[in-house]
Amino acid sequence: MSMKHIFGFFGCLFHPGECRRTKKLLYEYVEGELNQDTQHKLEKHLADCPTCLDYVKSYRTIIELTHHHALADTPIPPALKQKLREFIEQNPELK
Amino acid sequence: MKGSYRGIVPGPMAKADTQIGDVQLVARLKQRDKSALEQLIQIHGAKMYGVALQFMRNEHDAREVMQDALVSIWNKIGSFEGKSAFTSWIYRVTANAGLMALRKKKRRENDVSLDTAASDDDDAPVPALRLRDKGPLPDKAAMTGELGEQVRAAIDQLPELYRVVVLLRDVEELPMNEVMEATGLSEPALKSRLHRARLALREALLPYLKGLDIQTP
Repeated sequence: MSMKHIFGFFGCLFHPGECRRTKKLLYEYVEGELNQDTQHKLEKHLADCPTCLDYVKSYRTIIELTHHHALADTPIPPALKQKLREFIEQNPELK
Repeated sequence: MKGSYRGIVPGPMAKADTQIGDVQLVARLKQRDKSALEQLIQIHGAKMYGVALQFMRNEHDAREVMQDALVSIWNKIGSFEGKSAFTSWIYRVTANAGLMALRKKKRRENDVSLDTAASDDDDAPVPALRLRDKGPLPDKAAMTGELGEQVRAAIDQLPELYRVVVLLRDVEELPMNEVMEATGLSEPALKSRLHRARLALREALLPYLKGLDIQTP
């Protein structure tokens, strides 16, 4: 654990209410749905609390990782490809 | 925020070739050229199959989703105006086909509704996901390579009610109103479910985030 996180841990002890509030507002903050005043207060807290800042960063990272890695290029099994070809040729809805 | 992350993407020439190919493909589909559907499978089938598998989790159901998606593409191609990339459009169509198939399956199984069974209470515990234990974490380079696999495994572990909203919103990036319409969820329920799904994914992937120097408490 780095000094930053030791500091962050004690930081959360010093202002637990603000840390709880940050977690509560996390979704709205990341989605840009907070009003300016609330956003400003939250960002002020993030500047003082590395633990909460990391929490927000990791939440954003998860969204990005999900977006970029959720779908693999999965080779279609040859038998499935053949069935899809037959479907295209024979299905009356595809006229 | 979205779009700031850059993974491995095709080079500009490859992308340009695909775009030219897509323009021709769309034109042929609009002329009702059925062989264009086969070409669509050749070019974009792997990704469509990936989408279908994420929704259905097995090959048989994924095939039905792909068939439904092909019919939708065929029937709706006239309304495709080229405002979004053709690839995004076909993956959305496939995702919608996946969602419809899940709903049909639920009705058949007389199972819990997609709309009501998850807890949307913010204070309820987030779903716990268990990733396969592969022993000690690999070094950073190997971990980067393994990351995609772990992300997909974590999404796959999400309860269906959460997985669907993540796939529609964070993967396909459908606007909130379209996800609400597709899932039948109210806005607060959708937001709550999406948030809890993200927290569950974060929890499951924490070791990887730490290994990649994305510091976490």
